[in-house]
Amino acid sequence: MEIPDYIVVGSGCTGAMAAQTLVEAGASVHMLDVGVVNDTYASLIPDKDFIGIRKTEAEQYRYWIGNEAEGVSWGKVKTGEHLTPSRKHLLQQVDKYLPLTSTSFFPMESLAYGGLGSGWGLGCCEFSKRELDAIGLEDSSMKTAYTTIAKRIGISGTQDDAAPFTLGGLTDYQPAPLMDRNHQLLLKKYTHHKNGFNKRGFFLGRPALALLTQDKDGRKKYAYQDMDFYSDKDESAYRPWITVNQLKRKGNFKYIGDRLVTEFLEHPDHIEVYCINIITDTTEVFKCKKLLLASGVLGTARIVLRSFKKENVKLPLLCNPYTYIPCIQPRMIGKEAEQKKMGFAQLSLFYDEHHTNEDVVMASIYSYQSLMLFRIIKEAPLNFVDARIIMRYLMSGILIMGIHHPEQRSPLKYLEMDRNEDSITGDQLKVGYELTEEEKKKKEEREKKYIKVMRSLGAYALKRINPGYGSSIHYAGTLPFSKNNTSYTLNPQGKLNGTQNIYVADGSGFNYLPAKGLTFSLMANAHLTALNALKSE
Amino acid sequence: MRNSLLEQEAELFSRYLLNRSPDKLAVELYSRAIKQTSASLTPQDQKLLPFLKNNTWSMGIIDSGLAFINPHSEIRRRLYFMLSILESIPENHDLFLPKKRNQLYLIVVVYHGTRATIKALLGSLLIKMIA
Repeated sequence: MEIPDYIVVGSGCTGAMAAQTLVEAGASVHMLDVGVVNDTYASLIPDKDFIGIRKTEAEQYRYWIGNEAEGVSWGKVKTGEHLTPSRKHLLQQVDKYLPLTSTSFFPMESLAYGGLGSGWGLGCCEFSKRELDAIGLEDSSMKTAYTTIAKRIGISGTQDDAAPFTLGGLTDYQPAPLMDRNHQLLLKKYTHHKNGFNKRGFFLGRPALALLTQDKDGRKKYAYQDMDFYSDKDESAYRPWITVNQLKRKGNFKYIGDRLVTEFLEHPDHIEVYCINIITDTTEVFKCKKLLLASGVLGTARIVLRSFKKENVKLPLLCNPYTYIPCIQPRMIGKEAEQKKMGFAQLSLFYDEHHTNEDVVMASIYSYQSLMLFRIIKEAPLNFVDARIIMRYLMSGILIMGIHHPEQRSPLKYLEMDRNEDSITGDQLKVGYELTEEEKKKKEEREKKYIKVMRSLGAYALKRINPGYGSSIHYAGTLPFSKNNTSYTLNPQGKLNGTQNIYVADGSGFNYLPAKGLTFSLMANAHLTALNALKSE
Repeated sequence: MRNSLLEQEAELFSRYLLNRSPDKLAVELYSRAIKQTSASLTPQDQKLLPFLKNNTWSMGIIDSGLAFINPHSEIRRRLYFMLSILESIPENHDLFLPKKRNQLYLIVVVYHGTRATIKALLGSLLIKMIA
């Protein structure tokens, strides 16, 4: 059997982008991926808007709550709380194949086709030069890469106060999607008192989204059906499987599913890649000339730690601390449900304390409708009867603000491999994660400032919900970029130090994690890593 | 858990939550959901559940009390599952979707908020007496 030039591990946002770059350059590429797909619910969803479905569709319970009510989650808010039955497959097989133990860190990993990108909130942010320097990435190449990725995935946005933090230098983008009344009111108030907010370091505007507002490459423009948590029917929202599906039509690309890569062994002229075939639970070996790991930061850490076979190695870990703050905008109370609506973030509120576009805090603001009333009723400390009546009246005015905080390395945040004889791989990832007192204090202060600013904008915080560490689903920093050729680091080109032909195309190399949406930068970095791998031939 | 008991519970909870009898689908979904996600009743729940079934007038008071002192109790979990099922039945959409209302409706909101608070206080006492 002919050895392919490259094996790319993982079909998520980074794997898809790296593979596309390699395939377009003419290299032969195999993609190894578990690739869980579950179309049980998504295929049932009619081409109608949320309100229309609510009023008429007899079988709607299947996609709102699931056949076995698996979409109903009880207890405290946890990571992945918003996953609806048609997105639950993102978590399928994870407990079996990606065991993880921690008392303080509860991440979300995925073995789905398209990875975590299949549930991505679509926010796109260009990182500033200062942020890229802190991460260990080169500014000018990243700016070029951003343009390439934007062209591939399709981005909508607008030039407003948020643009320096979102669109940055991008020029090729579609108009921003329409806003609902809830967000329009917020933005109107901000515009009237803009200078005051800006002096305090707050900037409000439209997020750049990987969402089409005009048809592009066979994908349809967004139809405002408010079914974003359930379906990707028109492909207006970018999902990495769209790219992988396109690559499958190319002669130099081969997708090999049902394979979980566990480790690699590098030889002078080729690399052996060991996998578990998840259908037979047996080990298989694939060969390639170069290997690109893009299996998510935690997944890549597992593969690297197993491959180097050293005991007691602790790797650093970065993850943006995250808090939800549901707010109520009294001016919207008692307003009728809007037929045309959107589940994605419609506004972003940035806190740039020193006006330097560095260490910026980002809050994404969403309206609440299609996730159903029951999920929000759970958070009210009232009996269910009165809570339903009250929340139904308040619902039109509810805004959910999700705050991401920037993240620095600390000895309190790490991961290591631990033996676990019960696990199929014989091991498990053990994660320790705590914020320092200083970080906790800063987080608290920032959130209080956000609450105050929202109040000035006419929206009042109802409560603060901390879903636990790991819930931001932004992970990085386990194999930091380093110019010294030290173990468990990446060189600035993304090559794993100590190897000849093994590259890491996900966020493992990031030395710092800005609070801004991470995925767009991960994709740009994956593209650059693939280019570097091509150059080194 | 026997099906007949779950059906009885579904009827009781639906009457309490929406003042409507559940349709066959809702009963079936409730029974399936509770069986799938069976959680054991705590000693407190074991005393409260039969009391609720024999004294349906106390549903609102006990629910309020639990929301206040033990919001993640098994009884509240079952009520929550029933609520989510009822919301996903198209015939009930008018009881869950936002509707246009005038500002006087704020009085209704305040009334329900006050009622829920009073019930929570009464419920806390009643729960302590029963369990």
